Amino acid sequence: MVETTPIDVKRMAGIAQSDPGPESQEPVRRVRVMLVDDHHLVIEGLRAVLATDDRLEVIGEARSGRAAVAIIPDLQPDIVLMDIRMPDMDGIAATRQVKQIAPRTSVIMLTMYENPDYLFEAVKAGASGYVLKDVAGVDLLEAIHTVAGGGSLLNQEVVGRFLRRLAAEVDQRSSEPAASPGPDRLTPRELDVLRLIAAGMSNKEIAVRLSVTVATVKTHLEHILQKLQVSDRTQAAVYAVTHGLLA
Amino acid sequence: MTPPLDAIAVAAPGPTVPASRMHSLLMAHSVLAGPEVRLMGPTGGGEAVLTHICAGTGAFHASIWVVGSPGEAPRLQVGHGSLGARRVPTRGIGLACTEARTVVRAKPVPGGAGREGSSDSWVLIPLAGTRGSVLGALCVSRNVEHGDWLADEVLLLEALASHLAVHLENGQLHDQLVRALDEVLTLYGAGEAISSSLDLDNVLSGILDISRRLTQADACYITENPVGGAGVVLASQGGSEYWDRVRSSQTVVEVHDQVREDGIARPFRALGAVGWCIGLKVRGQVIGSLEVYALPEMSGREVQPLPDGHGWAVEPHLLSGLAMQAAIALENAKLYQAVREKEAHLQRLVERMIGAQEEDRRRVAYDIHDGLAQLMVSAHQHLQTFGIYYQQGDERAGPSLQKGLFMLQKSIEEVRKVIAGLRPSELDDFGLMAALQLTVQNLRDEFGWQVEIVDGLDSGRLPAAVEVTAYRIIQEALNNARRHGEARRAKVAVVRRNGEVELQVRDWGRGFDVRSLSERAGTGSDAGHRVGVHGMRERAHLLGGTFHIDSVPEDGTTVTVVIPVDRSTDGLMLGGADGFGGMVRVGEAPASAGGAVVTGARSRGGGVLSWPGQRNGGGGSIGNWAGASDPDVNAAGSPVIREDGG
Repeated sequence: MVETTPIDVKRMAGIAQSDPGPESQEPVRRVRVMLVDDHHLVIEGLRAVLATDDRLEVIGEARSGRAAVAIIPDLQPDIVLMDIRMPDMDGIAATRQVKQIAPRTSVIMLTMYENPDYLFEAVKAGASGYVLKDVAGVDLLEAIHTVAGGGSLLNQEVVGRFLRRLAAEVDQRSSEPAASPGPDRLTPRELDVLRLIAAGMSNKEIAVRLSVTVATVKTHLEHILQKLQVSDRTQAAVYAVTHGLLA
Repeated sequence: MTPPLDAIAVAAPGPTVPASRMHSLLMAHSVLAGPEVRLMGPTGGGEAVLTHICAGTGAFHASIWVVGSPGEAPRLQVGHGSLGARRVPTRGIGLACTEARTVVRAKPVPGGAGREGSSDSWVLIPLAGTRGSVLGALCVSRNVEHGDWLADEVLLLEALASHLAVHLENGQLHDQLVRALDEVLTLYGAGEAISSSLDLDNVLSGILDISRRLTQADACYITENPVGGAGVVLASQGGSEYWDRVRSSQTVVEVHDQVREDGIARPFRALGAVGWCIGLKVRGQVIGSLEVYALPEMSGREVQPLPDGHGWAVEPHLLSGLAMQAAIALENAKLYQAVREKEAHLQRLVERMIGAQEEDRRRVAYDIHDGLAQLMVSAHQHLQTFGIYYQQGDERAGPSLQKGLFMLQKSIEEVRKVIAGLRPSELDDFGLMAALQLTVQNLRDEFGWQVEIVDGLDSGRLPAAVEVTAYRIIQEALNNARRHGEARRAKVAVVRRNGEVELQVRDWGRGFDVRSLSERAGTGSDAGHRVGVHGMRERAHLLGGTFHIDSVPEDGTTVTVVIPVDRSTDGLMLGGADGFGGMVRVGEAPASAGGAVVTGARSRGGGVLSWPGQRNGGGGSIGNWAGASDPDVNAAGSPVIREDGG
């Protein structure tokens, strides 16, 4: 059972404005959010929380992973709030497919259970982050905006741990790096930025390291995300690890 | 027809024996005193003794005769010198043996010369054993020319005979001892081999091996003697279609029947084969039989005719000793097997108990995840929404708060359901039927079900384990009917009779194909259904009960469970141990369920905790925990604790 709301199909390419602060005067494109959960009570509650933020709009919902995957090509949401445990394709499998059919759509896992294995699997599948269902409303809204702006929900320590584990896994498999959009299209400078992102640095730290402004780093990041066809810096770091760019 | 004994006379005292003859007789004594004497064969000391006797008495013939078994004619053990055409004094020998006295014929029988070798003169001396029996006789014959038997001569021969008798007896005892020792050693070896294992198959093949070796049988069978049935072959060696035919021949079947009755060994001859059948007895009871068969024509085996004309001489002590060993070993192996089966059964029960427990926990976790957790998350989300609106001074804050509180209150309701599902207090306090009435009432109130309850317990309580099991199974069956069968109507029957309680849940739902239960893999709701059925079955089996599910698509499902009640306490530990094998009976489903029909209202008054909306008439409300401060919340249906009938 899938309910959708009418959507603006003309979707701007690129990423949403990263931080449209409250003082910003220009008209803001609202972040288009899709909800995926098998419990209607939760969807209803999420709608209520998201309705408090007029910079967001809920453009659709699905009650299973499979249903979500079916309508995402049409909806092209910016953000998907995805439950993990669902009948008929769980959230992690659904995320993997979403990232294939709509690579610029960011997925935030929303779940009852705090579990590092879920986190690892979810991020590996392409999720930008992981939010517990009992998150405070404002934090959930902030998380959505952060991811929509290409940011990461994971702190430096978690990302570091995650990337180490991922690197170990990649080593163990010692398989050929996946040959999707090649890193060769990145400029040497972008490659530097990507490596520093993968090292868990914030934009500010990267700016200091490279002696450039934060705005420049942001520009590089936008180009990296576009070229690698990934939705956020965590996935960019995942890409760097799985494609052996950290050498 | 003993001839007149007038011709037989005891030699009168007379002249003494000449020294040369005397010497020979003394030599005979010294032979008997020597170490090489062995009288049991045609060679050896016996012949030397007889040689000396002949030399000492001038006899042309001397012989030793022995009596086999009482009543049997004496037979020649060892002889010396040729009788030529002369007649053996058979009757005299028999007389000496039976009357245990020396018989002397000194003179020829008048008129009998020529025809009976009447020129013979003989002495027949009984060989008396130490235990009063006559072992045989010494026969010494000489020509009458040698004159009458002198008294001293006879005395000397008698002395020799008594000496001989001792040797003869010793020899016989020795042989008996050797045979007995042989037997004992053989049986000991057999026993050791048979009892070296407790594995039934090993024991059986051990018995067969040894039986074949000891009896030189061509085929060997061990049968079990089930109560009130024909013998069943447990194991065989060298069996073939031919032996099967022999075994099923009229003669052999009759012998088997007799042996199964008394266990006594019987020989038989059938279809050109010979055989023995002996019962395996334990504590005076024939538990089976050992059968050995041989085909003399094929194997060239020496077959001695038995007194009753049957064919195959097998040492009877050996056979019965073997049967005794085999019976004990078989019994031990079976007891051991029973113990092991019981142990394995216990192991399975423990696994089932753990499995059932895990199953429960999984279900509870699932229920909480799907129900309570989502309600709480929802409440949290609405209250978060309220917080945001409240801070912004947004007027939408109010409805968000209401929504959040509503969800919280629903959560509390759900908590009660979860607790009731975990352990309905009615079950402990008022028994199975009360708890069922409550469950059924919920179905009526919440889902508009039409449910009939048949109470065949006569207000009696069942053992706690049975009550819980019965409650769980019925609960699960009703859950299945609701979730998977989408039923709106059901009938629950609980009937106690003859030491067991029968539960039956019939629903008029969608039904399903029962065959799908046996398929291993499954997805979606079908899998859940299977899991539920598995759990019910396990619960029933834990108490040694039976479980049966019957379903017809579009007609509904019937679950029937029978649980033994009288031994339910044992049942928890040894449930389903059905006698020897510890087998669990599965699947019988008695069709009918009688008993009093109680529909609708609860059967007992008194302080009963109940849910709101149970519409059970009067009863003062003793508490409303939610308070009356918020009419909206209250209107949503808060749990109320009532006490029926004040």
